[in-house]
Order: sequence, then structure tokens, then C-alpha cells
Amino acid sequence: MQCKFFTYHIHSLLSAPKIHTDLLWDLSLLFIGLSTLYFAAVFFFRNRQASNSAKMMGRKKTLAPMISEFLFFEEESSKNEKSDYINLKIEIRELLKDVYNRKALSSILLDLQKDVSGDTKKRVFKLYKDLGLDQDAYVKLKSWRWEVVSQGILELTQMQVTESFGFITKFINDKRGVIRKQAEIATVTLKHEGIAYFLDTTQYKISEWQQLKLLDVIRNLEDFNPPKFKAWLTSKNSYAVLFALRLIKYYNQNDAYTSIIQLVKHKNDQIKAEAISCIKEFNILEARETLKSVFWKCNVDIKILILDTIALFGQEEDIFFLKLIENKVVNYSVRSKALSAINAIYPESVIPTEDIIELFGNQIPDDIVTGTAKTSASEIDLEIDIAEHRFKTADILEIEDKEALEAFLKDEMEETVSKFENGPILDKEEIMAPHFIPYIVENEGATSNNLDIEVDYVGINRQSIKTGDDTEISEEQDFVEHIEASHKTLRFDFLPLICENETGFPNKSMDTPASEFTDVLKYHVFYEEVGRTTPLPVQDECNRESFRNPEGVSEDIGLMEIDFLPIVDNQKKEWRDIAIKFPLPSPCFPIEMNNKNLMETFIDEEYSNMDLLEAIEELGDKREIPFLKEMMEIGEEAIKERITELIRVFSKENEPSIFTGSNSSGNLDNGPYSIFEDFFRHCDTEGKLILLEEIATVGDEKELYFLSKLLTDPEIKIRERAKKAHDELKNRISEISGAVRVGEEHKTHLSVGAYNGYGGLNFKEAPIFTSKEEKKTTVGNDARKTKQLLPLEYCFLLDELKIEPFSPNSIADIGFELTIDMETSDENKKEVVNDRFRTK
Amino acid sequence: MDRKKLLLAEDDELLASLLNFRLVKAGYEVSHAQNGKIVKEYLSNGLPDIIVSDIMMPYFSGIEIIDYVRNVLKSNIPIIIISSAGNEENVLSAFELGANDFISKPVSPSELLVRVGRELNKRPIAM
Repeated sequence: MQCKFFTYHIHSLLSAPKIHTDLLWDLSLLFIGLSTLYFAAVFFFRNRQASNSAKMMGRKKTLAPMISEFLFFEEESSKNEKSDYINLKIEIRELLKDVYNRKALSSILLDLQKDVSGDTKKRVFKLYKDLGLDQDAYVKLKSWRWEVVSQGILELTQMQVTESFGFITKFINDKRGVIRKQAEIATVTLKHEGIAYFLDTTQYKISEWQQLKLLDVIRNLEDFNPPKFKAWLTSKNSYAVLFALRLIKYYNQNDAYTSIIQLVKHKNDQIKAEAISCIKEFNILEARETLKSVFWKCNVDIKILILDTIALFGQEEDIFFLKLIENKVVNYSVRSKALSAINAIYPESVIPTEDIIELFGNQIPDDIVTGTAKTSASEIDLEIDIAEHRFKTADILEIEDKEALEAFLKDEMEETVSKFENGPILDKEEIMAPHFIPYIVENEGATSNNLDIEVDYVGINRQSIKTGDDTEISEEQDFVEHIEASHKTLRFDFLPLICENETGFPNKSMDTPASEFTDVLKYHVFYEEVGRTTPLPVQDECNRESFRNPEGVSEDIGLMEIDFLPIVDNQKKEWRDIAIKFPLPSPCFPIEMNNKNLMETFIDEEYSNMDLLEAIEELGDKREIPFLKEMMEIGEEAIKERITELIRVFSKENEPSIFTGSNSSGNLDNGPYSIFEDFFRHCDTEGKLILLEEIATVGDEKELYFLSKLLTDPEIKIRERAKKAHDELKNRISEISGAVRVGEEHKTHLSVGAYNGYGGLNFKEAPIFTSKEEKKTTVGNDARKTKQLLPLEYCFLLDELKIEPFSPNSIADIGFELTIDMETSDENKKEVVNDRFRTK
Repeated sequence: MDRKKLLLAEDDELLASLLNFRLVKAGYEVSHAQNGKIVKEYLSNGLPDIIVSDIMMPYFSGIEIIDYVRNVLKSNIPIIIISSAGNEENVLSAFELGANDFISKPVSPSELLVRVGRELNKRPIAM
């Protein structure tokens, strides 16, 4: 009781509820009982599990050799072994009726398939199915417990039961994550097309770890032919798109550039990063603009990825973008990446600037004591020259780049033009640009023949043309209208006409400021084309308009290429009458020359005649001599000299060549060609003698010429034989000609003079044959024998009766003329032919 | 004909049972040791013709067994080690210590037989 009192009264201040002690004891007893029960249950189940495990291990130990027996059984075994194998089968079938044994067998086979490889592993798979253990796995798939279902899927997957593919794919979109992931692995593992089915079907997230496992499964598939993963870049499941991108990169499927570039714009940063990674991997240059466009909306990581990619295959035009990033982006990493990207595109274009000590030339610091070495003035000058030379060389090297060089030249040109337009007067050396009209003034007193003409150039700037007085402009317009009336074409290039200083013309040297030449439009200058120029694409109407408008003219002039040679005109007295012929691009309006004498003198006569003479010299021969003589009557002095020279050359060509002993047999030309000449050249002496005999027998008058040349042959035998053959042939020809001689010797075109010079022989009696047998003379003796000559009496009789003898080849005979005179003109030939035809 | 003595050091009983079955069937006299301690006890009593040992074993690893055989027992008997794939460092260590050959898990029993036969043919006489 005291205890109760102590409990309830001493600690009255305690707010604990008043619970009866018996109740507490009762509660204590209850919890002790529950804990005892709990521990008893744990002990029981643990022992049970351990017992089952031990039982399973025992079963395994028992069944393992049996499994080994099944796995390593060979058909070639002995009968005892086969008998044991059959007994073992019977035994194992009995054992399979026990659930534990089935579990033990399944466990053994699942473990074994992990530890063995090769053919043994295949036997394990086969044994698993043969024992019907896969049915247990199918049953597990129907369980409501996720771990059982997962275990069933795992068993079927590990034992490669491909028949279970359809059952397992149902779990791809299961709500339970473990089952779903197990099903994904199984789907990809069991069949090669499982990956496609999975990507098509899955609607849930594919975790990074799961993607790695799936990739590992795919990687280890034998003979796996990956599908085109670009097909899933359009999937509604962004995780499928991401996984597809990774698979595309892994399998180097670089045939989806457009889709990958499009995915750079994806709102999912992971996909964006993976797409950029693919772009980087495949060097998709087309993605540069897209990368630049999405850059500003990306987070830092993506920006760095983009800059990395641009650094990899960026180009010159990306430099501006990178510079912009450097200036606009605050993030240090991004700016640094942009700079490194610039350097990656153009190495060393951005150099370190932080913590760099500035050095000023070669100034020696104050704390260093200099020596007393003296340098001569010449050495110093030499150093300065070398330094300047280096400087210039450096400049040259810098502009070696094509574009830089063009820009440099452009600037130089513009600068020169500005000098022209704004400067008062330019020296000769300063005139570099073609934007000027050469104005050439001859010194007073100089003549046209004086070559020491002082030629000065002055730039006629546009301003000076614009400031011409109205009257002159009016005259200019009249002039334009005047030249439009004719139909001559102005040409680009020109010969500037140089006028002597005359009365009324201000004698202003080139040292005079250009502003004093404001009345330059008063002077009309002829320019004649002397070379090729580049035509400008300017319309005729524009040209005309520019011609009417002095400002336009000046602008056109500024665009024209100047290529000219000066022509000095001393004859012109009225400088106002000299028209200006502007070198416009392609004007087609007419022009009338005010100074006709000048044009005739310089163009029509002199240049045309000179061109003609050059053509005659190149292509002509002695037949042009009469024409040249005609030209001499109307030509200038220089032309006459030229013509005389040509006539002399052509006359030389007319003279026959003189044979010498040294080349009599080797240089046989300038006479009728003999067919024996070629044979003769390639024969030895014996052959030549034989050939000469044949010539005497079968030759004709062409061979006479050939034989006459051989009379000067160095070999005596040949000379003698040639002389003999010549005489024989000559006699024979005379006999033949006696039969059918044409009596009218004046009609022969055989020029006696042409033969007079040939070795001193007299060929006055050389005949012209128009016989019907003429063409047969070179055929041979046999041919000659077939055609018998007509008796002279018979010929005279026919002649008296004016009857022509019948000839079946009379028509063809007309064409066979023996033309020994190669110099006969066409008209003479026609005449000869006509005469011959008449004789027939 | 004398059967070659083979010591199989493998802690995985199932695999050991399978390999044992296959090796016995191939004509070897196989002794199975489940850990390194048993292996040392066995070797202290006498040397087999060849040792097939797993690297990862209780008490003494396969590396230690090789070192024991080569440096303590001063024996040149062929030693074939079994190792898991991707355990290159241990394999290299085993070769440095004197292992004769190597086979990776999962093991192909047929391949193991070939390797064992080759090593025994190289060394017909065991020390």
C-alpha cells in the first residue's frame, strides 16, 4: 500500500493519468507474449527457410551430378552409359513431381547458365525446356506478387525461352516499375526485334540506368542487326527519342541529319544535348545556323556544348557569332568557351592578355648598366635599311591572302581616285588609276616627225567637265546629235590625238592646276582603238544619255579602261573642229568625222594598206605582183617601200632553183614530179642503173626533167646512164609525138623559159601531148602494147575529112592533161584546156 | 595407364561439381578443394600433376596458391587459373607469379579440358 501511496501521492505533481497497476502488469504480459510469439515466428520461419535451403542444397547436390550427366551425355557413349542415362531420365521425371525438386533443378540450371559457356550453356537451355521447368516460370507470370512475376520473367529471359516473348511484352507498360524494367530487358534480350517493339510500345520513362542495361543487352546480342533508330526520333515518348539518339550515335547511323538538327530545338535539355552530341559526332555542318539560333535560349551546359561543336567545325562566318558571345554573355565559362572556339577556328587569333607585362620596344631597363660599344653610322643605317626591308616584307606577306590583297588594292585605287578628283594637279608618277582622260600637248614648234615630243598627262576630273560653259555644252550636244546621224561605232580603246599648240589655244603645261582647264570641253580629241578593252554592260540609251549630259559623260569616263597610243596631228589648225571620240563601252550610234583627210590618211590608207600588205606577205606569192604594182601608184612612201620589198621577195621566189652537184639526187624539186624519184632515192647504185633503164623504156616527159637533173649526179655511172636514158626517152617521145602531134606549137603552155634553166638543157622542143594514149604512158609496156598508135597517113586522112577517130574513152581523155608548167595561172590553164578540147 | 592427378580449387560447388564430372569423365583423377586452406593442406601432402584454381576463394586466393606453389614448394607444376571476366589485374598478377594458363568465367568445360591436356603434354613429368 505504501508503494501505491508513493506512486500516487508523493508524485502528485505528475500529470500522468491514473492507470491501475494491474492494467500495467496486464499490458506488460501482453507485450511479452507478443514478442515471444514474434520471435518464435521468426525462429520458426528462419529455421524453416534454413531447412528448406539446406534441403534445397541437398537436393542440388543430389541433382547436380544428374544434371551433369544429362549435360555431358553423348550419343556415342557405351551401352552402359546409355542405360544409365535412361534410368536417370526416369529417375529425374519422378523427382520433378516434387516442387522442391523442380525448384532445385531450376535453381541449378539458372546457376549453371551463368558459370558455363559455349555448347554446355546451350545444353542447359535445352535441358531447362526438356524438363518443363519453363512452365513454372509461366505460372509465376500470373502471380499478383510483383517479385514472383519479376522472377518468372527473369527465369524465362535467362533461359532464353523465346516462346515467352509474347507473354513478357505485356509487362512493358506495367505500372510496377520492377516488372516493367524486367520486361523491357526480357523483350530486348529474347528477340532481335525486341528493341524496336520496346521503343514502339513503351510509354514510361526509361531511366539512365535502364538505358545502359538495355544498351549492354543489345551490345551482347549475337548477329544483331540494329534497326534504323531515326524512326523513333519522332516518338511521342521523349525518353524513347533520347534513347534513340544515343543508339544512333552508338551505331553511327548518320542518316538522320535533318531530324537531329531539328531536335536541337527540343525543349528537353537532355534531348537537345544528345542531339548536339550527335551533330558533333557526325560533323553535321548544316546544323551550325540552328545551333547559333538556339544558343541564346539554352542553359549554360547546352551553350558550352554548342560552343564546343562550333569550335569543332566552325567557319569564318561564325567568328562574329563567337565575338558576340564574348561581348554579350556574362557567364565566365561560356565566354571562355567562345574564345577557345575562336582560337579553334582561327588558331592564335585570340592571344593571352591577362597578366602580360607590356614591353616597349628594345628599351633597356634603367637598372641594367649598358656597355660602351660604339656603332658606326653606316652600321646604323644598314640596320635601319634592314628593318625597313623587313617591315615591307611583312606587309607583303600580310597581303598575300587573296582577299586581303584585293581589299588592299581596292583601297589603293580609291585613294588614288580621290587624289585625282580632289587634288589640283597630279604628277606623272601619281597618275595610276585609269580614271582620267589623257590630254597630250605638244610643245610649240615641234613637228609631227619629231619623236621628242614632251607628253604630259593631266587628269581631267569630273568637276572640270561639269564646269564647262553652256555654249560649249550646247556645242557638245550638237555634236552628239550629229554623230548619231551617222552609223559608225565608237570603240573603247583609242589613240589620243595630240594637237600642236596653236593660236587661240592656251599653252598650259601640265604643271598648271587642273582648275585652269575648265574649258577642256572646247577641245575635241580623237581617240582611236589600238587594242582590246573590256566592254562594260551599259545600254546604248544610257550611253547616249551620258553623252548628252556632260556629267554622265564624265562618270562614264571614270569607268572606262584607258588603253591607248598617242597619234600626233600636225595638220589640224582649227582645234575646235576636232571632235572628241569618247571611249564608251559599246555605243552604236553614228559618228561623222570632221577631219576626213586625217582619217583617210591615218586609217583608210596607211593602216588598211599596211594590214593588207602584211596579209599579202604572209599568204601571197608572185601572182600578187601586179596588184602590188597597182598599190604602189596610190600608196604613201612607206607603203611604197614595203610594196617594193614584197615585189622583190616574190620575184625571188619566181626564179628557178639552181642544182648543185651535192644535192642533185637528194633535192629533186621545183619540176614535174616523176614517179621514179622516190624509188631512185632509196636504191643503191645497181638499183639506180636498172631503174634508169626502165625509165628509158616506160618513162614520159616528166622523166626527162628527172633525168636532166641526174646529169649532174656525182657518180659517173649514173650520169652516163642518165644521159643515155634521157636520149632514149627523148627519142621515143619524139616518135610518139610524131604520130599524134598537135602542130600548133603556139598553143602549148609548156613554157620554154621554164626549162631553160634546168641544167642548161634546151627544152624548146618539149611537146605537149594530148594523145589518147597519154595517160597510158606511165602504165607500162603491156599497157602500151594494147593500144596501137594510128599511122600518120591515117591521121592526115582523118584530118582532111574532119573525122575524129573513135575512142571509147574520149570523154575521159579530156581530163588528162600534162601540165608541166606549174606556174600557169588558172586563166591560162582554162585557155589551154579549151584549145586542147578544140583540137580533139 | 596412370590417371593424371588434378586438383580443382573452386568454391562454387555447383560449378565444381560440373567440372569435376567432366574432368573425371575425361579420365583425370580429380580432387576438389572448396577453399585455399584445403588446397594448402592437400599440397602439403603431395603435388598433383596439374592445378586448376579459381582466383577468388576463401582463406587463400588463387594468387596466393600460385605463390605458395612456386616460391614455397618450389614446384613447376602447371597451374591454370579461372577468373571472372574483367578481372585483368588478378590475371596479370597470376601470370607474373607463374601461372601457366588462364580461363575466364563463364567456363566452357570443353575448353578447360583442352587447356589442361595441353599443359600436361608440355610437362609430362611433374616435380
